[in-house]
Amino acid sequence: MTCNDPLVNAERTARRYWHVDGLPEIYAGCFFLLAPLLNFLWQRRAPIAPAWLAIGGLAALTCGVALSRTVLIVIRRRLTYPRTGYVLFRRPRRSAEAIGIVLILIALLAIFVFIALTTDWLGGLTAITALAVGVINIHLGRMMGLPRFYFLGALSIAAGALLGLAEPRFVIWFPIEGAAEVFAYLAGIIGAGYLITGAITLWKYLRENPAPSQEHA
Amino acid sequence: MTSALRDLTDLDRIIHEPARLMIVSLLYVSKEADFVFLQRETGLTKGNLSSHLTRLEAAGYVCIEKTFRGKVPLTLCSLTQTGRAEFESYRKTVKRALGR
Repeated sequence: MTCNDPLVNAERTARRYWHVDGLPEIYAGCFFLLAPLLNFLWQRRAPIAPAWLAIGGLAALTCGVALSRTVLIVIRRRLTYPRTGYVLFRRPRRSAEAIGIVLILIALLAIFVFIALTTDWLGGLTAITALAVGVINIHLGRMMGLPRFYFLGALSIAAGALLGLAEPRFVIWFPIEGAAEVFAYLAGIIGAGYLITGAITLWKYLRENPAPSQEHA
Repeated sequence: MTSALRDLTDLDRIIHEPARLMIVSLLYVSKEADFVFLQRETGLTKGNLSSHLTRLEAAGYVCIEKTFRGKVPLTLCSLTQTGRAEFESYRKTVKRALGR
């Protein structure tokens, strides 16, 4: 996606570069897949108490988010920077940042309103969570001009509609029982989407940018 | 001729040159970038990019730090406060003159 303002395009270029190798999507995908993994362990009666599984999952998620930038930079020092260079981008412009915050607030508000207004909130909550993830992905895709984020947004919304709005009794090809399973399926679908787009992007990136000779970085 | 259009004659020639304008635009939106990134995004040759960066550094618009990443030389570039202010002023003048 291009714009008439060259500075906006330059800003998009710098911001898009964070996703040039697909590593952030692979990283995020792994954390989304943590939910179905924990659910699987829980279902299989792993010799760990459910409370410990939940605490462990939450701790892993918190550490993963907190360390994401550091981990990605360490990997990129070997993989990306020698191939296509290094850039440290500035904080987003206030307007772009404000749009992102407003979108997140609207999504959170919608979830709370939905819970307050309905008794059968499970299906709707799943759909709205998926919608929020989808809208954030679409916003990111628009901000950076990366079409694959539109796909991730659409995937999230479709998964939410399938799991949340379809009555579970109609979904006969896999049983869904309870909130944990519904969210685990949703996170699994979103995580798989991230992993697939990230892996394809990384594969294309490595193919198009062979490792350079040791002359100049 | 309006005064806004006349202002175009006072444009900073160092920034106005297309290749340098690309470099400054990229550095304006980032905190710092290395030589490889700038070369890839601008499509300039090593020699060409190097000479434009030297020119910008001489004008005090760009700060160039030469270091090493392991055994590989690494050239980090960033826009100075002067460079940032000059680019903002350049942008305002062009916008005013061209009505955007």
